[in-house]
Amino acid sequence: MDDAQAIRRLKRGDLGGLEILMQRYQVKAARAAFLITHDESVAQDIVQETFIRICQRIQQFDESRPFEPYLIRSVIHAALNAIRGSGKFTSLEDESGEVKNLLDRAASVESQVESAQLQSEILNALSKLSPRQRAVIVQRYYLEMSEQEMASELDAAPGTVKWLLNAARERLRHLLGQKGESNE
Amino acid sequence: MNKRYHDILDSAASPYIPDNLNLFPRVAARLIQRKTFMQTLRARPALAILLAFLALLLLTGVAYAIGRLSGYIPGVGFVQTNALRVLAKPVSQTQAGITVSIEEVFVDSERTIIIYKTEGLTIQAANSKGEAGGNPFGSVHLLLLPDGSTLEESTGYSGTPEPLLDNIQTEGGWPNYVARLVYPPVSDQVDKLTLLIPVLRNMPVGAAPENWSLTFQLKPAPADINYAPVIEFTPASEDGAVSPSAAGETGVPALSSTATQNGFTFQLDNVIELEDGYVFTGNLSWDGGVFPTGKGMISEAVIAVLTDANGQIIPVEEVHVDAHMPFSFYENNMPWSYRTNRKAFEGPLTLSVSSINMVSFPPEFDFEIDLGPNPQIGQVWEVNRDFAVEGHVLRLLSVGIINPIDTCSKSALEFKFKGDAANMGAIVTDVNPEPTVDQVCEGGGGGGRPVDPAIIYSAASYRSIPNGLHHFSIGAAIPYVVNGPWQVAWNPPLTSEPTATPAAGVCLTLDKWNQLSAGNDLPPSGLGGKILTTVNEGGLWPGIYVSNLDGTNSRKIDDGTWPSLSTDGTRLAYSIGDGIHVFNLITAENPAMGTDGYRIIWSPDNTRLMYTTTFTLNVVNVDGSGLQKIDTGPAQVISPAGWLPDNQTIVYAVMGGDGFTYTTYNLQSGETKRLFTIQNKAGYGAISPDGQWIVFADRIFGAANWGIFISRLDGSDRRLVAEPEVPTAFASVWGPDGQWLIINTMNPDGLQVPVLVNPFTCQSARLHNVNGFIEGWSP
Repeated sequence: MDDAQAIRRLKRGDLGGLEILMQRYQVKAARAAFLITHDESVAQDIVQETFIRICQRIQQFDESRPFEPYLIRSVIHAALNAIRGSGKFTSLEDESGEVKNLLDRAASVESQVESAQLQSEILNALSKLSPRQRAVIVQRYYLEMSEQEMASELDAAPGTVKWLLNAARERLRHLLGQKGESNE
Repeated sequence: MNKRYHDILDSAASPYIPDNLNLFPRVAARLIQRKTFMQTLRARPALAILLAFLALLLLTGVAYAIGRLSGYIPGVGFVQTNALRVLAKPVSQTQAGITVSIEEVFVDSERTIIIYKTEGLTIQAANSKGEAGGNPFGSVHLLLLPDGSTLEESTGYSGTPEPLLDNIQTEGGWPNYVARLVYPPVSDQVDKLTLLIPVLRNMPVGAAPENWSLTFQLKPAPADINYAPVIEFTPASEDGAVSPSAAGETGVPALSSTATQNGFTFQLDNVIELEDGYVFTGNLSWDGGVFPTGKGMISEAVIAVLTDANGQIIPVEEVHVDAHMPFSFYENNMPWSYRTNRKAFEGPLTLSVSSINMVSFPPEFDFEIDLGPNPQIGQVWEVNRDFAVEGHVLRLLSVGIINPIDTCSKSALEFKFKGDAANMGAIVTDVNPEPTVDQVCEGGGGGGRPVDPAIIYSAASYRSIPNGLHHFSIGAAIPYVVNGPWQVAWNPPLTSEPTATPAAGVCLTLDKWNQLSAGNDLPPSGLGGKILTTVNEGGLWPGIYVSNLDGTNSRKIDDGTWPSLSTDGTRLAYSIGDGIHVFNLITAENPAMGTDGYRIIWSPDNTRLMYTTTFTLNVVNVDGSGLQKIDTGPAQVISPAGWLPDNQTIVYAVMGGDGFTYTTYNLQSGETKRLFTIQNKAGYGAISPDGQWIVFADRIFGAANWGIFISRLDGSDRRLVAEPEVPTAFASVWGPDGQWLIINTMNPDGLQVPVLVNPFTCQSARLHNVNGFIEGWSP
């Protein structure tokens, strides 16, 4: 059953359609939300509430549009709102380069132990980013969206997204210097 | 091995969001609960009539007394004031230097809200997760009742509502935190509760004291509890009406708290008066008639603009007035809330929505195609048939058999359309679909966006390769715009506060920056000296270059990071794998100092260096001797900003719960003085050579980006140098004469565009022939 069929089932009041959609996308959506919020309970709440909201509006859902981007967009926005409200992000808004750096390292290591360590460092690095930068990292590298798609999702000009990503890469060199300290 | 970034991030998140995550039962329970209520209404019309009557009372303002039972507490949200109970006295608990304090509790008939904060948590502990074996951060917090039962946090996001909990801050900032927990209401017979915290937020298992148990008492809310004034509007109310004469002066029709046009109603519900601004809440509702074909949806967020009596746009930010149910959505209704950061305005204030982007769904139409007896994956049928849909033409270009798009299918039929307008949509359904598959199918549903916005793809999946004659139902989606405007207005009370004066002219506007970026203007004559740049050359470390201001005599020094030029321009300190090096630009000597750190800044007399290791701030002689660790208090992230000309006073920023606070520290006396706080969550700053000014990046209310400011060291005489629309980096550089700044910017193509700005005269120019990020400028 494809998404459109599941949505049609849901429109008929059949929660089986919802179950299919949730089983298909909830993990990915929750992980995207987690990577932004750094809080698994908040991430789960966001996904839960997003699905409830979608169900409440399902009659208005345009089946001709793919469901997954719609869901993920809603989750990203909700995660951004959640973390903006929490004041939980920390510092150094231009440290998204660290995440990119760590991703590069993780992509090249063979050792499972080192890979696990790098995953931990990636989460720590993400925690230091502003909500918007987390969203950019998650969209570009986890959701693998194009810059054009990101611009659309973020309601930002393509140049702004390019700027955000380039700024992140540009700061990479500084963050290489910081990584050592981050584990003190 | 070349793992994809997606896989790495997925693995990093997987310990916290397991593969077997199943939120469906929770979601279904919520939906069924709601559904049951609606069914009850249908089954019990008397109840429905009663509820409708109550709703009517509320809408007409007759239920004024009922409305008064609701109050707003900043940082908490709306509460029922008639049965509100609060924390009898603060409760705290300390374990191993970590303190958890319950600061506020509110219990009404709707919910229980608990606000607590932590102190003493360290970044080192938060970062120890990897060593702890991948355990998750934090855990579910439970509320223990006297009968031994426990409550879980209410579904729905229960984080911090807006306005933020400004009155409760943590010292030192992250990983300490202020948490707001929302639980179901408790019986009014219960006056003692216990908060159970197995693992503190931001902490991995085993990194900090665990199994916290904080018992607290409730008491009736005191009569003098501080509710924020709430002005309520109803469709029948004239409270929010603006006199025709006042509105007439602006040449627009009389405005009120409700605006209805083209089937949409834009309604201002409440204005909440906070100490430092107003919060506007309301909703956008619509009837089914807004869709030409009876079916459709709002396709983009509707954002209102707030203006004053002179038409000046007032910055606002979207807020969550009440975090209990921020995702509450109702059919044909979209709630909204915005806040201002000040209260002195020249009224009336007008919230306007100019247009609403919509999508309508015309009736579906039929199509059939004979695929023949033995079609193959990859086979394409050119169709080129036009369908008229709601005044548009949707052309079906082709149909092709493609590989399966989910794990339950063997193939799919892909339909390629072209619309006569951008962003049209189409979905194709086989009229006689195959039986559904019981298993959950991975993938599908997506397909990405076409590069050409007029090209549309839609697919139908099959458990085998389809053949023969197939009938399809095709539904289209047509984007369109409903024009307003919808305007609601409110007259703020007169205030003794002065209305905001227009900011002094910003030096670097977006227009100016665009001119500079495209132009070939030369820097002002008389400017010179050495500039220090770093260039990302694809290696592990960027290249460090020194050149003249005009880019001539560029010389690569080394690869490294955090370079810093001495104030006399003869030496260069930088950080690389074995720590900090000091390179002599005259003799090329390059000794390692034997210490590591970053954000290095030379003292004015070039005898010492200040640097940080994130958790510590150090000053050391250039030869590596005389290491002095600076006591920066509870702050765990410290960012050096510069030295004062006395060579004894350093300036740095320390992270706290409300941002970074610039601080001075006298190396001889140890005297510390807090200067001012910036809210952009970054501590970058640079002190002018005369010690009179600091340049920094700071958040601007209502703006999506930060602005570049200068101010005196105490935060006074603050001036916006580069507006937030200019794509600036955080770090700017003072020139040796203290009159000029180099502001690092980047154009949309990713090219560095360093801009010279005199913040006192606003003279500006682009630095040409300079590649990379400007790190320093010396004589």
